[in-house]
Amino acid sequence: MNNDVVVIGAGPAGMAAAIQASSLGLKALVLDEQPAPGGQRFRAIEQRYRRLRAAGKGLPASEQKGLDLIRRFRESDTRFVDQASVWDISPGGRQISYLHHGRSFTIPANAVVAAPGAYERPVPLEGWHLPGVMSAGAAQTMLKMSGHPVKGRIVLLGCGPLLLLTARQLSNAGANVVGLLQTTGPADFLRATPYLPAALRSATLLKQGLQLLTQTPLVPKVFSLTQASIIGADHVEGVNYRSRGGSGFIECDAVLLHFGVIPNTQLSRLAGVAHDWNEQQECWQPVVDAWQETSAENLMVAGDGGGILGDEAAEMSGRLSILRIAHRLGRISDQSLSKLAAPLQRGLKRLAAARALIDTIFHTPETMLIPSGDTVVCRCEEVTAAEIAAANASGASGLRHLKVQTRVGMGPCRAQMCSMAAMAMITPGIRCGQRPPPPATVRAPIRPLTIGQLAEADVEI
Amino acid sequence: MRPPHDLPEPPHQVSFRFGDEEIEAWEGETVATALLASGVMITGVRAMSGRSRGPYCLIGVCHECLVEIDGLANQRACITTVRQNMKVCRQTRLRPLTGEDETREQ
Amino acid sequence: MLIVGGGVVGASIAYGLAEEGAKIGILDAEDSDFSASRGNFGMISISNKGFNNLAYFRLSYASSRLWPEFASTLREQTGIDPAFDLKGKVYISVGDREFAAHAEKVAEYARRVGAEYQHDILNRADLRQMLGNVRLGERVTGGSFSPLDGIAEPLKLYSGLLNAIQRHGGSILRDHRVGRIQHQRGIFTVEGPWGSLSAPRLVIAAGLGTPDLASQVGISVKVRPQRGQMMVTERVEQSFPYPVSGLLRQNPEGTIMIGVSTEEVGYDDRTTVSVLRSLAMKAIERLPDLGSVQITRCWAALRPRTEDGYPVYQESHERPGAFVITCHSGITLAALHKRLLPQWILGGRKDALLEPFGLGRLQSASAA
Repeated sequence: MNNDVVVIGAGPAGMAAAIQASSLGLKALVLDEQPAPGGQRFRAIEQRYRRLRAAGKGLPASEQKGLDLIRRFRESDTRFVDQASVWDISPGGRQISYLHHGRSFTIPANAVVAAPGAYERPVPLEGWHLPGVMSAGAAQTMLKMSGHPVKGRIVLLGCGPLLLLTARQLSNAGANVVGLLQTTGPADFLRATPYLPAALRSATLLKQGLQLLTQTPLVPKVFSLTQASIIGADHVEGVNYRSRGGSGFIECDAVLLHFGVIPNTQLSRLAGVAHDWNEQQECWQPVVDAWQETSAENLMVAGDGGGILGDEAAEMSGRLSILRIAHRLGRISDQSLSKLAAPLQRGLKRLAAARALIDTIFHTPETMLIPSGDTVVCRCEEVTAAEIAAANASGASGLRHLKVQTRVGMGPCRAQMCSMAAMAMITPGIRCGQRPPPPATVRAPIRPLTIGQLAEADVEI
Repeated sequence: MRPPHDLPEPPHQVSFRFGDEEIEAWEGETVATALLASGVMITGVRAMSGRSRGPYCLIGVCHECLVEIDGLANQRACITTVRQNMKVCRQTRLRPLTGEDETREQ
Repeated sequence: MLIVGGGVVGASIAYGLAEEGAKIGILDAEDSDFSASRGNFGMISISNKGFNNLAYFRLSYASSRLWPEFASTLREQTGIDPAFDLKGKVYISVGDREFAAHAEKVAEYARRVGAEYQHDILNRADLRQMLGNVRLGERVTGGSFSPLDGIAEPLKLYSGLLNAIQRHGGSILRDHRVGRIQHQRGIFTVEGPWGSLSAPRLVIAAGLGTPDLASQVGISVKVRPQRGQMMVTERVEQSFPYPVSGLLRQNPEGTIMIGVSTEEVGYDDRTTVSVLRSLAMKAIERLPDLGSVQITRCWAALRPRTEDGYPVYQESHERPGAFVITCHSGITLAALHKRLLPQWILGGRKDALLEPFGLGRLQSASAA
């Protein structure tokens, strides 16, 4: 066993953890599915930098910090394995299996920092399975990687800072944005005012937020959107919508959806650690202490995978995880532990306070929370809302019952796209404090793996 | 080790096949973003329902962008980095377990 | 009438009882409870049953004969097709020794069972013929085919049963874990955090939960968990027409199931890399083309095993009207449970096929 810690994910949290580990003399092995470090937040940023520089341009300041982080990460004494997909973690996290260039490796781990990040909350709308419908984050990823915006006439739909940011980035890149349909309305801002004082402590965050709200591109906008359905035969042809101000139809070629982000809990659920329902953010997340440690010793979850707080917080939580591990290993004293940790823990508190404001303004409207009719909820197995409603009416009380009756969640995405909506459907009082039933069990493999790769797996125990 | 972003030259362009089309991409880019940038929206057809599908999340979660790459079915186009001359195909039906050109036992 | 246990065993009995006009309430535990009904292979297995217990072979065989009508009735009544097919099963042997041992066992089976035991030994060429296009592993020496066995789609069967019960006016009560059973003046009252319910008759078919409940009606029965791990793949074209014993089957929609391990690890339904890897190796050794197929899900389920592995059908002497039913072959026996158990529970007529499976056999065995 030659690693002190295995870090899963090379986004802001994972990279910060690795840098911290290396500075304390811990040997870290970092596994990431992508070909380059950066995570979703700083995806392909090195490539972008090289492309921009070749064109005589530079990165915007908000991205430059990512490039700096990657530079420090690459320069640290860390073993980084890119294109490594972690497909299993044993209960408690002492054994990790990953696929790398078609070969599977199972390795022991003394300590684990899981930094799996987040993904955009899937909100099934009628027609959202049509080609041409993507998440707003996907449009960003495409812009980052290819340098090209989404083609054709674009409608952005949903709520959240990332929706507004994507609208601006696409417009700046010369895309044809023909509509920005936001569920957000005056009532949301009003409801959020009690959270404003605490948020004021994060001045930069607030400034960024104001900029996003005020500097939206000059495109047709709809507020207080309550319902939408996407029309098309075998790709997007338009959006029908209804808002408090009336209804309408927009012809378009692409629809970009965004309803905030939720932690990716596959890894932590597979490891069997305790999870809790976060009412404010309406998602499940692993229970972690002030050191990001889960209910399993030496299994930490850092970054957005442990609760949505953004990239700045992700770096802090990644570092905290390592401080705790290093202290256990006797690499730092009690004294330096508290000295190093105090500013990080304070910072996390401050960012959490600002988060409450954002979560309250931008939340999925009740009218879109529970899909109905022919809307495809489970995209993999093509299960509609009506089919789930029928199973629910016949007394299915949990996701496993639903699965037996409808096959919802049994496809290759492993219920990541449908489980939130399915859960809302069987928890009618979810907005009134009713706790949803526990999420479905996660089992290996959480990434694609062939029978041949499994049979030839290299298992080191 | 020198970070890739310190390399002096701009990233190279590579090309790959998508069915009969030739698609240009940046080195290091994924198959899905390259296809989308070339205007390809539909990456597959569901064998059961006949419904067309295209990339949705681009971060490996949704499995909507499954394509055949160099003979291997069900590869996530959004996670696979392009390689020069790779062969990518739309998936329109369930694949047979054995390749058609497989040498058979007599 | 109350049925404690909402798995395939409880549901098959409830379906039969409801058809006979009984007013049925099924009490099922939480969604997260261990449930073999949601994690099994869906085989109607006959040709490998009861090698050392002819009565068990006869029981299973009788059920397989009842299955066609059972499946078609279910489909007609609910519109849910359990995809039953009595198509037979292939056995594949790897290496000469395994093949020889298998052939010998099949011959001995035929001697013990008699004419009913149809099971033919196949050489490698025959096997290839039977399996169609799929390639055989280099070390495959031969195998066999038995037309006695069948398959069903286990989740379709399960949801069909629940649907049928509801159509016959029965109710399925979820999150109704039973803690205590009381008995007063011929009435059973079952209690849990959800409240209580009473009925003059009580069927306990709660799988691993059976011993605790059975002891409250004066029946002492042991049931232990035995873990089985399995996996299911992506959908591929129909590739092999017959299930392969204890290892492989392809479902109508194209997914392939690979399983099932047998492990004594207590109440742990998690998967392990080493066991899954050995299943994958076994599968590829027999059908190497499976190597390129992607795994969609792996899971483990706990089989409820009685002491000797055979079913238990027992009415309480101490508390008449309370019945305990437990077995680990709920799919194979579903048709028989539906047909033969209601007349025993409602009318006291215990079919001769069920007679050998009282608890007396275990007590006399342990006394001896």
